[in-house]
Amino acid sequence: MNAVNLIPADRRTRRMAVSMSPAMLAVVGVLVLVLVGAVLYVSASNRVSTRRAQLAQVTSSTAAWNAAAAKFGVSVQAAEHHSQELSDIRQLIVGRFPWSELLGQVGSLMPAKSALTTMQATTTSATTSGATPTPGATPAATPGATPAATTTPGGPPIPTVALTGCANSQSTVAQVMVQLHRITDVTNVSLASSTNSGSAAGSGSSGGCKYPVQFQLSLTFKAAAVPSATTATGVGATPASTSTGTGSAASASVTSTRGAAQ
Amino acid sequence: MNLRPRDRIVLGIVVMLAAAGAFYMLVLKPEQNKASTLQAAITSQQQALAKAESDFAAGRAAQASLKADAAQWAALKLALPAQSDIPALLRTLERNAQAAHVQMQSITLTGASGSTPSTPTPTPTPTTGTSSVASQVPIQLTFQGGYAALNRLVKRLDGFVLLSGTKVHASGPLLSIGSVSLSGSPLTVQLTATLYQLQPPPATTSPAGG
Repeated sequence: MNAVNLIPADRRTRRMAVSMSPAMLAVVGVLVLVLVGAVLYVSASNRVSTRRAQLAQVTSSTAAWNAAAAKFGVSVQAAEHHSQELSDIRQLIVGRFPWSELLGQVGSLMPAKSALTTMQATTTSATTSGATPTPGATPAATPGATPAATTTPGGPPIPTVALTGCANSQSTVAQVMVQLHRITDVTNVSLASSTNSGSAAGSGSSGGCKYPVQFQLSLTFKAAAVPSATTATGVGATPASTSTGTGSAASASVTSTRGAAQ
Repeated sequence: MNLRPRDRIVLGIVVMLAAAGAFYMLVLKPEQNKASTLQAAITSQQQALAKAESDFAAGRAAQASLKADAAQWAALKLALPAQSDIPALLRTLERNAQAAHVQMQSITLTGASGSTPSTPTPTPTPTTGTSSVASQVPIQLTFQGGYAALNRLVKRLDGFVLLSGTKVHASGPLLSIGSVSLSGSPLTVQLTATLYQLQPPPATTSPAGG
């Protein structure tokens, strides 16, 4: 049996028009709005949930990493302290004055027929920012004028050197001055006195020195400078104590006045 | 009260808009705010996580460096002992004096306040300038010998602690000579020098580190 639509064709279209009435449109609109609202709400809720989970995960990871890092806290502190110590000790090492080089140069540059009787060389004991001079650590009393020691802030110490000695003539004293001026970074050799006592070794006026002319000198060094390492070769060239002759007799004279110690 | 169809439509639209606005303000916006707050917290935690990871890496590096620098540690402890080992210093000085062919005459701990030379009183380090970890112990040394031999001795004393590049090499305590005084016959050298003592760290630290 076939179904037959008994509604006239013109009525059929009118019914369609009824279904799109304003009330129906309003209902559909409300439903659409509710649907959209529901979708937005669910989406927002999901986002919140996802982020909560993500936050929990990151927080637990952070706690774990912090706990792991805390185990190395002692090492980090020790390494920092170690680094500070090494830095300080490097400063202290670099700030030392190379005394052996200075002594070597003095010994090798003293001319023949001259001798040193005393030498006072001083820097402050502290040479870097990590240290201070100690009040109790004053150098021994100096026969003759010992200039005050100085330092360059943050730089190497500047030595002051006072020498007393003897020579066979005033011209030899002049030669001593010229020679000592060749010491690295010496800017000035000052003569305090040069006296011909007319007597040689053994007499009281000569102070035990074997030459008659007694002199007092002081050396001035330029700031922030030290004798270079390449000039320290004179140390080993000091000859035997009994030498009074030529050649490197400078240091020979130095040693000859202390012959008993050789 | 009868409303015209047009008014009903307008009223319906207004009601729907009001409902949509209320939904947004009361439901949707709080959720969005929650999401934003959570995002900020996540960002903050991620930064904390990055810092924690970086701290962990720094800790591992510090531990590795402590192990790698064990020789430097040893040199440091020799050069800057926690307490001046005067008996060891005496032995070292005597040994070096003999090696340099000079005679050791005297040692005076000018910073020592009591009668026990084995426990000198260090001078506190200044608080100004860079933070130093060393305190000073002033000493005076007197040796007798030839000029060249005394010079050799001074070189040996300086050579207790040497710097090679950035590496510290130590065979004895760090000795900083402040003045050299040569006089007399036989020749006598008087050295005014400073020993250094390591000041204890502010907190308990150990080079072992694990």
